[in-house]
Amino acid sequence: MSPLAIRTAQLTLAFAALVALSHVVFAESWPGDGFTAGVIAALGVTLQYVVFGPGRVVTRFRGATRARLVTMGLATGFASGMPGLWLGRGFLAHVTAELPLGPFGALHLSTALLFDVAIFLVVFGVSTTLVHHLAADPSPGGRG
Amino acid sequence: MAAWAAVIVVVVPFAGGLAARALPLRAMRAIRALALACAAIALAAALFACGGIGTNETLAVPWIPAWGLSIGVRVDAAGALFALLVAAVGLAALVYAGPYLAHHLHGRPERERTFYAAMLAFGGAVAGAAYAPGPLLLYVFWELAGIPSYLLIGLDHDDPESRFAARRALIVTGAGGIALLAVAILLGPSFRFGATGAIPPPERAAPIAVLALVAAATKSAQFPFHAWLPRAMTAPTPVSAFLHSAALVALGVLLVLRLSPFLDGVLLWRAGLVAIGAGSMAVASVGALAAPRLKGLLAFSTIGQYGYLFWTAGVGGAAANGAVLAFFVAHALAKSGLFLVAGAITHATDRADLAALGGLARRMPGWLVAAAMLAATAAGVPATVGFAAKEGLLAVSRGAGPLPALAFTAASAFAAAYLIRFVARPFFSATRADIARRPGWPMLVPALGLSAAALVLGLFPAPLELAAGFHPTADWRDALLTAAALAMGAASLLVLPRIERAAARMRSWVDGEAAFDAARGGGRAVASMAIRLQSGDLRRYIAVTGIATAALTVTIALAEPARVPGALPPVSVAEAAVLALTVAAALMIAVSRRRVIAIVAQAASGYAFAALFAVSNAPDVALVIVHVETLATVLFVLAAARLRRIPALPSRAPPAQPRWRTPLIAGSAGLAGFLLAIAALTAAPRRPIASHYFEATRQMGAHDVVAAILVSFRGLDTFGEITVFALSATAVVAFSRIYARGTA
Repeated sequence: MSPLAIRTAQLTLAFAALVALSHVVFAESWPGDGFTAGVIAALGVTLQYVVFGPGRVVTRFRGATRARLVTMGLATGFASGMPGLWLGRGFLAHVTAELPLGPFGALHLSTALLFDVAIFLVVFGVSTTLVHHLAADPSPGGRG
Repeated sequence: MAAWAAVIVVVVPFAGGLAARALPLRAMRAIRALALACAAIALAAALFACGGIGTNETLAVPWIPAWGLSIGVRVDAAGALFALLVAAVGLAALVYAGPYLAHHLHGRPERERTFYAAMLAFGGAVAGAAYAPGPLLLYVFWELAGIPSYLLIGLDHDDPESRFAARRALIVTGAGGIALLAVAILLGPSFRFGATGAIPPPERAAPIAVLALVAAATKSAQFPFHAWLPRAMTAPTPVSAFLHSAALVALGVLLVLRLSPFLDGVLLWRAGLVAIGAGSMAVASVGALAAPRLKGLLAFSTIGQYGYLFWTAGVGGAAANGAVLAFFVAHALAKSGLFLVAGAITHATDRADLAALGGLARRMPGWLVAAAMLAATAAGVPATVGFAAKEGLLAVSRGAGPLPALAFTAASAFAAAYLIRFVARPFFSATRADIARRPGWPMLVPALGLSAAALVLGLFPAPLELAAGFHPTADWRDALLTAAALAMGAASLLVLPRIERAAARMRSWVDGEAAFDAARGGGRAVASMAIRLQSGDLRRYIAVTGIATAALTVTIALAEPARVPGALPPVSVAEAAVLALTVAAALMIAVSRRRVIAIVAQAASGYAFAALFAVSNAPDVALVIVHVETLATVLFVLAAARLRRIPALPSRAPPAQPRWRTPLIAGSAGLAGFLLAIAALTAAPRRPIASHYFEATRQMGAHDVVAAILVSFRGLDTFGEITVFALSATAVVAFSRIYARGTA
């Protein structure tokens, strides 16, 4: 494990996280959406596995379990569909609102953004789950 | 106001049931008091709600306005009488349950608490079904009633027979519930009972009729689905009195009453009701005379008397609804009371077999009075409410001709015979049963109360006739037939042992086990077919998919030759180069002998594909493909590395195949895919949908049309896709754990 590889993996993860964030936030305006964000962030994490090995990455990601990310994503997606249903437009018909911020203009809020966040959470959670479980060593005494 | 009272009838028992479950076990007295209070409130409110009968008072709150769905109650004659009866019988059963359970569930307070909670929740659910304004809400409450019913039948869950009975009741009535859901969907979300114009579209009438018959017959334990009810007699007696005479089995009749006005002209519906009714009356006539136990006799008599109602609804159509409702009330009062008598006899003597009982007339005189009055009501003896109600049913049958009238009279004669058996055997036969403990007043009062109600309504039938919209006409021919039926029933007393022996020989024909076994056999056949198809061999699945794709494409091409493309669009040099790379990579996958080379070749093919999009003015799609391809390649490498460490399972060695098979299947599937793609690309659609999406995206104020399609226009598809994605991760984790365990 060379210092250059370590530095590259860390920088890549940070950069991937930033790109993923921009994809989610500007999903309606620019190319990229919750799905690409999830894949890009997962690629950042995958590089961590390649560089550090599964053992080290597990300790770093103990805070948010992958399964919980997926569950949260599905729940968020479901929740983002309810306002449209409630307003009689149908499930997942997205609802927007402008939140005035005085001199700073207005904040454009939409359940579409929430849905993009949901897609991101599921795609990221599932991809990292796949990587984690396939990378784990199933042999006796290994981390499986 | 009546509608609000109806809401109380539904909500108070539900809330009471939840509260009872939440109370600690040492507060059993509080649980009991709570249950009785809730039942009393429900009864008072149900009585008050009857005031809404004339006006059909309705209360509705929008639920999902987009689908025209609302939650609410509708107080009409059938619903109000039904709920009133459920509340009355429920209160009687709960009063009776105090001393009964104190003995039968002694030292098992958690079961007693479950009993009270489930009985209350059940009462609320059935009242909700009674007041339901439309089929979907009826379905919701119908299924809600099924869960406490399952818990109550299986209350003695140490007993394998109880568990079996509970499971069977759940399976049979659950299947009926699915049929009811299908009925609700076919009728549509905005369909309302009692509407006049909203008759279902004629082409849907036949499936609605069949499904509704299945739903009603399973819930009401009618032929040929009746096997679950005699089994369910493992439940404690108050449960049988409440669920298996008045409330749960009555839901099927309620459905028939609700749908009759809409399906009156459908021959299938009328004929089905007649067939179910006739079958039920026949099996019950034999079954009740053969049944060795008190409660088994009552279970078969319930099957038979609900058979009267199905029969009459079929013979007379919606015009007979008033008569059906009136007899339903009479039967529920009588039968729940008779269950209380059966429970008291077993409670007093520790015996349930009719052959082991006898001589109780002197020692349980109060119970004899109750039993005689209740049996007389169920048999339709004059001066009881059963008389007028049964005359009403007979009049309907007689109106249809002499044959139906005679058939119904024969069924009545059998009913009189088995009801006499129920009274004569335990109270008068020579066998002497010792009294172990006396059933006290709290047990006798509900039984006497029910029989008094039957008598009062028989002498003063005005309220019932007014509420049910049922106007019996005195006719000497009906009186004659009734007298004949009762006389034949009484005469059977002289030869009772011989009749019992004859019926016992035919028992296996009528117990309904054959129908249940046949259904189970059918289920097994389907299961074995599924096992054969789902062989677990991945290559087989892929081969089936490939063959199906090729066959479908060829079929379509032959059926619609005009769709087969002629000319290809021009291809640029850059596109041709990238395509050549893709093809070369694909060939390499096919011929490579090592997994790693195949994975690399696949990645190369994928990247070449991305390049194709990049040179075709779709850089964002190219970017997505690059990301996904990278992730997929890493996953493939990891999976291949793991596969190497998993030893091949010897039992799953692939069978020998001819060498040409795989290339042939793969080649034809690939060719079919190629043709489909070319056809899709060259055929100009009649109305391009792309411009519509661009326009709609602009109107939304968004700029990224891909994201708008994924998130907004096809959001439900995307939601489905992420769900599938999540499921696939679950599968991978499961397999990875299984193999980790297997190798450790």
